[in-house]
Amino acid sequence: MICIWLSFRDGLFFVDRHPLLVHGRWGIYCALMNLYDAQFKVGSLVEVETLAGVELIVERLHELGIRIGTQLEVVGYAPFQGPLLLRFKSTLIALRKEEAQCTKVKLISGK
Amino acid sequence: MHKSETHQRQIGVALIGAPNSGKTTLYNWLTGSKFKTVNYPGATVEYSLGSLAAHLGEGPLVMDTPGTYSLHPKSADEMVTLKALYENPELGTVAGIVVVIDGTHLSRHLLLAEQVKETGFPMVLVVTMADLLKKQGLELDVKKLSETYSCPVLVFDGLLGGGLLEVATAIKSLKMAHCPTKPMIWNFAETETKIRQIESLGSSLLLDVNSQGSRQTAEKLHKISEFSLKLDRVLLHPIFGLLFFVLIMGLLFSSIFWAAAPAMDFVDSLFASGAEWVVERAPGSLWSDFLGNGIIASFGAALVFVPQIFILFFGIGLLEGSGYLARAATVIDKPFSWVGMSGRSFVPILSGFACAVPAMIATRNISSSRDRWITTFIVPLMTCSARLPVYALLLAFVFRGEASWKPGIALAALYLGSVLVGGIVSAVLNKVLPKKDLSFFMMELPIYRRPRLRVLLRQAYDRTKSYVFRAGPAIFIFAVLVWGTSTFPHYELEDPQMRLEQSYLGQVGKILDPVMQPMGSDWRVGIGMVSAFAAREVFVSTLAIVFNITTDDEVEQESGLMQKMTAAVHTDGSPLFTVASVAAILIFFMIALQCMSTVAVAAKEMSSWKFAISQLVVFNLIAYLLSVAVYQSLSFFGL
Repeated sequence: MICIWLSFRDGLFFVDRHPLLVHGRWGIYCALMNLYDAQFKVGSLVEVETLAGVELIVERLHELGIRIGTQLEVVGYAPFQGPLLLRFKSTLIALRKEEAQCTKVKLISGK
Repeated sequence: MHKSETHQRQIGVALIGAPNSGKTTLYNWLTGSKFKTVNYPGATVEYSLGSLAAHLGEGPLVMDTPGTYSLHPKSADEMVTLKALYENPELGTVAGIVVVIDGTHLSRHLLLAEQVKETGFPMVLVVTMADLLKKQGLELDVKKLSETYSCPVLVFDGLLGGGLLEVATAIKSLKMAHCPTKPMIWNFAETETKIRQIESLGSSLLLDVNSQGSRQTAEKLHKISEFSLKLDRVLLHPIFGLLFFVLIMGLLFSSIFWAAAPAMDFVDSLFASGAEWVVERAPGSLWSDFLGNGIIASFGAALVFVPQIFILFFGIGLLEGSGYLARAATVIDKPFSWVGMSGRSFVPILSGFACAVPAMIATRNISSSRDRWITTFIVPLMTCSARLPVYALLLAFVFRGEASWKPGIALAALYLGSVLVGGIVSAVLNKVLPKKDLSFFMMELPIYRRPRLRVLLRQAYDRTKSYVFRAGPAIFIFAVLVWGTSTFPHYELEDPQMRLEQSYLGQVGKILDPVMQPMGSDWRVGIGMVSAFAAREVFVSTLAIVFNITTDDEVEQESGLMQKMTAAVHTDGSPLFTVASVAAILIFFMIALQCMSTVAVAAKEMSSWKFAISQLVVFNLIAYLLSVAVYQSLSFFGL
């Protein structure tokens, strides 16, 4: 529903360039979930589709080794709905809401 | 700046590496902990500079830098770190760079090596945490790594110092061939490509001792974090995580008090009896009084908190070394962000409960300058241990003859009150201050490890030493100042009460009398408050002199003081110390910034006297106004 709404709102012409969207097959646009708002269940595995948002945060995410195609495992959420805990390779990291929101992902396994 | 132009610049190499890469451990091994910290001119960033330890022979100076993932600066502080490599005031351009890389994070940390290579700096790669790889049956392909970056690659064991000699030899042979260029800035696509390249390089560098499958290598790397992951499921759990956080911090916090108490008593009595001994050598002479009650007692005032500071640093080192500190910051990040700070502000705030001076130094770990500003500003509000003797006396007075849990509850309320006021001030600052730079959290959680006792003890010792040299002189000078102003000009008077009353300090107290009246006190309390500017706990001993207690025995002094306080009256005959006036004094001490060493350190850490002075004025003003409000409203209800 969200994707349809977005595509109408932005007009199909712009949808291509909308940072939240990636191009699917034949006019089907699917909205990417950002890592935070999707509230994945603990244990879910997601893959980074793109990094977008505040430039400095994107650069920092890059420096930590998170790139397009990196698979992240959702390990948990800190108290008070604080930072999101993730694991990739042998690394454990905590990302704040604003930081995780710059990471647009697709679900690989889990919910 | 003049100095650096006139003296010949020395040759130095810099250590750089990601946070938790073992960079500082290597630095400590290389320098044998004999180093000085240097403030970069005009900035709050400090870097550490040291010469090679004696057994490693002559060589270049070694510079430690704050942990960083890249050479592309994103904050003012990182810019300074970068500058320290190119335009170092003491070293000029460094002769070479030692890139420290965590062996278990090769596929990420080599990005930094890539950037250094592009600049053309002579480079040495030091790979740490090889013991963790070994445990999983993995081995680093040193030859391949060395060929890829055409530079020496060395494996270093941070726990035992294995490989230290080789690292030192490599550092000595670093030679600048040509002038290095500035780091290249990669765009998004370039960065993506580089990360991919580094990743595939990283995974090809790890050889499985038993088989050659790269799939297994990845799994084995995964295994290293497996235990930490399981532990984090509990320690970072939304509910249990919070529970453990409170438990662990409660343990650390209470140990600062109960474990330090015997040592503090020892230091206290040592200096007290020392002072007494000196005074007895030549009773009544000014010199013995100066030496005993001025010098020795002042040293005592400065050193009495050392046991507490040591335990605090040891505890923080334990949390840091085990890997829990990053988790604690994560747990508390959200509540802290409500009032404009981040989880990184947690350690300074916690340290503030022992002493504001090390707490302010600890704010250096906060990457956002705005967060750091706010944290440093509110640190003096935390109930430091110097306030404790004052609280103890006043609460014992208010609750004299009553159940012992009552002052306990009141004390807890005072601690909570300081947190509350700190939170309010921080929230106000958060609203008022312009949001210039982005506040980051993005924290890598190191795997849990068992820290080495020897390392912890040494670290705590080093940090305590640096505290003593930083705060000691200020405390000492002000303590001597209080002695001088409370002794002169009528030092010949026998009666200590008369001497104090007619002294400069006594005169200041009398000037303060009209100021003290609205909060229900008079010049006698005023003198105590002025003398508390040397160190807060001096308030108690000054009150003792004001109310003419001559006994040296502490228990007797307190009960004697208690009686005198009960008997003390205003000029109109009404009692001086009522619930209302004592509550006003308590509120004043809770908020007021009286500690001059804190002011000095704040000015130094923030490189701004304006900051320190405004902190001093704001807190004392708020403290005074609030205590007046408390006295007036409480006395309205007849308390």
